Amino acid sequence: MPPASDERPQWPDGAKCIAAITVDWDGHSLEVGRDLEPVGIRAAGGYSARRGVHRMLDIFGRHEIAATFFVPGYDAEQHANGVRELIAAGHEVGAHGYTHESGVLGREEEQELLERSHAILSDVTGTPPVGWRSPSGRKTHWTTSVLRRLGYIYESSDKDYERPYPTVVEGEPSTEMIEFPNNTLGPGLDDAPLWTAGVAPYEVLDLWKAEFDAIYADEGYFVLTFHPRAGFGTGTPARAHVVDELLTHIRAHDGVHFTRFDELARWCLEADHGFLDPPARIGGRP
Amino acid sequence: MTADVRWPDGARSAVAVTVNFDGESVERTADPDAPQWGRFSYGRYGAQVGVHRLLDLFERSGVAATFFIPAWDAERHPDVAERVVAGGHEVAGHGYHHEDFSALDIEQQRDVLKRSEQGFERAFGQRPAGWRAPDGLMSAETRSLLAERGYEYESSFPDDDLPYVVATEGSDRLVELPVFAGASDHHYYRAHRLPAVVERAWQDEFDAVHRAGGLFNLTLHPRGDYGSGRAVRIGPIEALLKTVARRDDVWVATCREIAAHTLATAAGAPLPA
Repeated sequence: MPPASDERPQWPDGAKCIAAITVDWDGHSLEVGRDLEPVGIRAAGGYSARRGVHRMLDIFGRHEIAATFFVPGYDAEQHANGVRELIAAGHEVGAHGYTHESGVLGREEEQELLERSHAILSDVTGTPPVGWRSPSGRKTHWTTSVLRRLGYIYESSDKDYERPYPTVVEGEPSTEMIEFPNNTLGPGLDDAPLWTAGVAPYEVLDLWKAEFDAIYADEGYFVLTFHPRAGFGTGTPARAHVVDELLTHIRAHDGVHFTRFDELARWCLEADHGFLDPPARIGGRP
Repeated sequence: MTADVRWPDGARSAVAVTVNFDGESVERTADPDAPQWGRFSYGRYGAQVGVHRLLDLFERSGVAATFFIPAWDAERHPDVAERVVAGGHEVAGHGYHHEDFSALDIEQQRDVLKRSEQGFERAFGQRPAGWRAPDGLMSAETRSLLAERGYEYESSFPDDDLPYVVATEGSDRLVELPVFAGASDHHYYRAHRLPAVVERAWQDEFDAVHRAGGLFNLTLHPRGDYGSGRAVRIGPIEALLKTVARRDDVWVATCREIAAHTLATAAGAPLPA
């Protein structure tokens, strides 16, 4: 069905709208993965662990919301205590590559890196991650089957829809894994293209409020993606304040259910909630 | 401005609402072997979500639009093809697979046009009467080729405020419906401008074109990245259509209607195609 109209999804708590706040840690892993020394102008990823993540924890704590952090394996190795703080504060930790691999890899190398990052996050947090987001938004025809074998119940990389739907695994819509599409290059609900283009914090706040208002009146599927690093990220004071103000704006609306992705995935995977019937135009593609 | 076109019924300006469909063929052209997951799925968003939002908007606004659709995308999404036609909109050519016509020789262009026309026969039961170059890219021969193949208009040149007529040496005639960046969505959204900015820009652009008596060739895309398919980006289009509807001296028409009117009323000799 065309999602712009017709029936609304059945969200948890009878909510009118869900709000999933997702944070891609993206520390030095991003530069290291590109064989760049993370020094000088290339050190902005260091801001995540030193300042940005703590600032987000403070904001989320004041708004009493639980978020989903996607952490590259390399960054989790470097900052194991920082990652454990996320868990202690009630947030979810999902996988996001080892060194934020940005290209399409060969099958064996991809599998090895997915397994390595899975083992690192499991060790650091004490619980195996159940969700994955592609670093840079690329995946192959076999990515999801590796994830499924490792026990993942959702992934969040595609840009093609505005509600959760069954992930395509081995060419077929899965009843065990849900897709959470997000918008990154839009520019809409990802910080990086906006800051990179020099859009100012007050403009980003206006945009994100407008995005939320439009989605609240429409499908009710609000997924925000940002980075706690400096440079193209939102960790620095004025930009983090945008998140703070946005959460205040969202909190002022009735019927909004803040959710971690793992919780939402479990909800969507229950057959009677209506997310397992793939929209006719999606199944088995591309 | 030349005064060789007068709008019907005393209208001061004309508005064409056009949609460049630009679906999955855009990503597939860029890399035919890459799977279209993740960041390569914005074209699919346009076909599954964005185009339906635009169609909903046109329905409640009572607007007949012109959809420029690569034939490959039209055949891939029969539900979209059906809904576009059922909504009373015009469908027109936009390559078979969103090809770069500036990189094709004349025979290759002819072949692509032929395949596009055949795809239109299958998807819509008719050949297209109009055409717009994918990404606006074409060669010096393309307009002659379109005229020879019986197209009534093409709409890619940003070189005038008003439609004009071109003709081949063999005297086949073709109407050009000029476009301009300020009346498109991707011009702004590729530069990461906000919907509120686009709304203001379009109002200013339309007011100025109206005063100048020109054609406001609004160009939209249903895509999820640089297009207007997202919920928050419907607002600027809706506001513009309301502004237009409030005026009784604006002719809102499909491209084919505007082309036919131009051909019937344009004064002076056609330019070389």
